[in-house]
Amino acid sequence: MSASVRASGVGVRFLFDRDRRVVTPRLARLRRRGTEAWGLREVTFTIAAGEAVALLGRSGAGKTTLLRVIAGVLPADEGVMEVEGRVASLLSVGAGLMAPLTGRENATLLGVLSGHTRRDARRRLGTVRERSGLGDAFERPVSSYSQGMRARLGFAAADEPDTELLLLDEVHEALDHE
Amino acid sequence: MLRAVLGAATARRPSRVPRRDTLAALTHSDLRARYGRGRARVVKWLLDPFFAVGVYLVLVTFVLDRPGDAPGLSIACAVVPFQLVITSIANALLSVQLRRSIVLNMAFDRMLLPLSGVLTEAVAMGASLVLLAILMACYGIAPTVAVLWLPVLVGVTFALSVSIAYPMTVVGLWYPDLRLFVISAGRTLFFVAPGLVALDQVPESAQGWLKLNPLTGIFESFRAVLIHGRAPAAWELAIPLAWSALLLLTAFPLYRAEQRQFAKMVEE
Repeated sequence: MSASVRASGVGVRFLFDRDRRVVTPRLARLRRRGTEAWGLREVTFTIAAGEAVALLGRSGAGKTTLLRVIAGVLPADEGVMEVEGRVASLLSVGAGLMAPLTGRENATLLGVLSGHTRRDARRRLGTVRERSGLGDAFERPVSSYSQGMRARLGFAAADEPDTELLLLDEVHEALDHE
Repeated sequence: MLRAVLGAATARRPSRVPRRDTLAALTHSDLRARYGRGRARVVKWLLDPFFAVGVYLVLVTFVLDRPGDAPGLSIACAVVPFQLVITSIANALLSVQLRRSIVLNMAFDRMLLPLSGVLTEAVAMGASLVLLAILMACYGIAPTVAVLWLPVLVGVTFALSVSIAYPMTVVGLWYPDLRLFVISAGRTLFFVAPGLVALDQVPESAQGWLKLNPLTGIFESFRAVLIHGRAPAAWELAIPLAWSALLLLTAFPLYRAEQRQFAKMVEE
């Protein structure tokens, strides 16, 4: 395993309009009046291969934002985030699942979006089903799942043998201890 | 080994997956999410244009008393391609919100989102093409060799829909309160084009202006091929294609820049 994360002066800025809605830099220029807040500022660290790191901090400290920058979900507005290795992430309460789709369909979609061909994603479905422990519910729409079932499916789809960097946010709280 | 450098200037994640696989997966999931599954979906796709055309057919032939050449087919030649354009707009306005949990969870090729939305609606349009064949049979119009132009016409309609979908995705995020207004505005495009009656039945003074509407060329080209059995005129394809190119040239760079910020806009 040779995954690593290097952050150097990373910052993420959120811009708001007059109604306190988040806007993009272009939209902020159009609307002129607004405010800004930095979700992260001057974050510098290195995580080497084989390390397990927990982020601790009060609510609103920027833990989720930092994980999203590492995952490539959010861009850094300043500084540089360098990530090496295959990344799998479970960062939203919805665990990246679309409610109208079945467990099988979600697992296929997540497999492709995380870097597998459709054929490979389909081939992995048996493993995902088994690891999720969902049984027949795997064929049902995710809208009928409990939060714990969603988390199990998201985790089973994300944690693959070739994953080198696994990013978990509060979603793991919904998982059973086993 | 994947390597990604994410910074103020770069956010790139090389992927081993062919883009067509990502596009197919996004489209398949979109079809399921928007149209459900099973027979009901196919029935809906088939009946949708029937009802849309039926309303206008009653309006034009009975209420307004303006019969023309095969009025039902003439209206269908406008409604069927218009369905693709308007449903693509509706899809694009919500496409990021619908995939919010994925957008917030993982990095993927978000440039494909509007394209997959239009592909979804194109599948629905494919089902409604059956209506054109049925109406041709009803009016006793035999297909000519000009029907070979049909894939080209569908392609032009698709290109226009894609070019509109990219800016509409951004509009849906920038101005979420205006989604219904934008769809209504899109519908007015149908009525400032020869949707209900063919272009040659519109006063000549208005014909030049109506031709500037990209939908006019599309509607008239479907009529040329399916009703009159001739190849479409050059302007009928050139004007919608010119609009498509113009929209893509202006909106694509905007979308490319904005898609990096999508996760901020749909934050939980």
